[in-house]
Amino acid sequence: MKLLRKSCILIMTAAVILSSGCSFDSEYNCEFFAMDTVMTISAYGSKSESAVKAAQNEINRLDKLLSVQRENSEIYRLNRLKEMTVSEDTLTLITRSKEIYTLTDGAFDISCEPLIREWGFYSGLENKVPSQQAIENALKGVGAAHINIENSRVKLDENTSLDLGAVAKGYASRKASEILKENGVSSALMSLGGNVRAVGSKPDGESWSVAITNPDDNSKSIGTLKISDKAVVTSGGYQRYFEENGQIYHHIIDTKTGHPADSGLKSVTVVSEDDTLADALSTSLFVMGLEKSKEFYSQNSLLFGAVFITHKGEIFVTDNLNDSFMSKQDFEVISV
Amino acid sequence: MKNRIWIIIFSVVAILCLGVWLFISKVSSPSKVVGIYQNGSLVEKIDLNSVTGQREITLSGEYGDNVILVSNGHIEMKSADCPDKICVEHGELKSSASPIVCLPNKVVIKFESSTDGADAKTGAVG
Amino acid sequence: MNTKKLILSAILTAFALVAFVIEGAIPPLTPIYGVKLGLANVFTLFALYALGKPYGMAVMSLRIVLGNIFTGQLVSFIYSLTGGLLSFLLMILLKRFFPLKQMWVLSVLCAVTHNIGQLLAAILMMQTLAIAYYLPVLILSGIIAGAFTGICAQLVLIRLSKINFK
Repeated sequence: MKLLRKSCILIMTAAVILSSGCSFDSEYNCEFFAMDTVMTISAYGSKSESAVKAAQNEINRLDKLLSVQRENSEIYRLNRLKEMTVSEDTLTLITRSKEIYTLTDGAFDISCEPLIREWGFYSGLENKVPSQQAIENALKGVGAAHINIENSRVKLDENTSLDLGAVAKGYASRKASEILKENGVSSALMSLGGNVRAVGSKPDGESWSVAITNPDDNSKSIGTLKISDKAVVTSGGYQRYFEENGQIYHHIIDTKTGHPADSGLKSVTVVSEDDTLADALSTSLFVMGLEKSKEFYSQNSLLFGAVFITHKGEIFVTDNLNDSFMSKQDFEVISV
Repeated sequence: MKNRIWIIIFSVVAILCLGVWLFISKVSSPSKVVGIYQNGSLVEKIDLNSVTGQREITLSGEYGDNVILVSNGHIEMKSADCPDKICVEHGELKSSASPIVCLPNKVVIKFESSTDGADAKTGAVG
Repeated sequence: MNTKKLILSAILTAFALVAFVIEGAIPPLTPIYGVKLGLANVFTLFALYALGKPYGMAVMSLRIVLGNIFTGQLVSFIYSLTGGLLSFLLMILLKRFFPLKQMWVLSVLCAVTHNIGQLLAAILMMQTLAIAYYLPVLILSGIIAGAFTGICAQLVLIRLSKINFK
């Protein structure tokens, strides 16, 4: 009995010493699972631990609110009820999504839920190539015109359902970075499943370097971007896809055709100060393809920069990123 | 008589195996970049030499959570909800010859060959 | 099929299960999967030599299925089954070359095959070749464990050879 008690005390003391040992450190790292992906936040400074925890809570809160799959998320309920009063976050995000829809001429569309469902890209569903009839049916409810907003009430048309998957992580990273700053963190790096967000610069004042995954070998990278205080988001069809009859079908659906976007691009990386925009644009540019994206860039070069990788393996970089992008491979610069 | 032949054969094989094992453990000198894999795909790459402080990585699998503890130059499976806890018993990852393996949750922690020194990596997610 | 043999194989299955559960309760010697004594195989071998191939097969497969249910380790089920089936196949094919006095040799061969089979299943399941590093260790442990269980079964069988189980 005595021995047992003694060893308990010993273990507890050791635990206290160990755990307090961590908090003296000025860097705090946290890794967790949210929004169906692995997220990491590394923050520097004396207040980093509490700040990171607050940011993590915020991301978890948004996950519960915006997930299309979680039952009782606001989006889940909206997709069933078709009309309801939504929270401020959801309203902001839907409104912003409609704006980006207009900006990208419909390349970005949150009403893609019925199409993604048809192609079976939700967990619990079987991946399959839907019939043309099914695609046409699903397309009936697709388009921003089917989403009506009045004050804080959102009304969807009968066949319309929303999936905020292409902006939720971007929005979460924006909110989380705001929380980090409010909590006194001026240097942090977040990676929300491939969505990277830099808060300020590194503690030594240098820019963060963010590697871009090589679509053909995900353990390698094709180049790095030097950034500070910006979001970097990549979209590509090389992670989530299925094969049927020798044909590869990935998860980024072009809402104009109802089929996976076939734009000749393997991956698009967007850099922007606006996380939500970066997230949405990476998907939209992937859908648009290189030529349309060049045109889009010439009109919106102040909003974002981008790195494109084509199916042939060529790399294109917008001129506003020319100084911050480095690669061992040759790349072509897109000017305004 | 027959027994003796078999004893010799098995002893030779056993010594050979021991030799190969020792050789592998020695040749694969510990580079300090580790990769954490789940279901065969890379979850994260960490350069153990650049880790400051301590951090924990939690992976969820079919059989609950695996908590991986990382600190400077050191990585180990701190706790696991899986039935056998062999990965926890493994202790620290020491050589590339013996990766930490959790069969139930399909987690593998092993040394990687190279890294490009970036702070983070952006890519499409599955 | 006769009742005597049926009952004997049921008893052997029960023994094998007890051995399996007890062995599972002992903390593993090394942190490597598959490195263990495999005491339950003493009874499989016994059944194989004393009762015949179908009974040995029954004892082994029942032990694997029930053992995994009892210890609740359904994950390892697929690994043990792959290893078990592979080694039993070998056992049936090679049994005629090994009389009672060389039983331990067969046991070693089977234990090694079992470990290799388990490793192959794990490589396929986890889609990583990294664990192939364990091959030499698993062969080594198979030799030691196989010799041990084989000698155990052999000694028991020789002592009991006056009894006719069939």
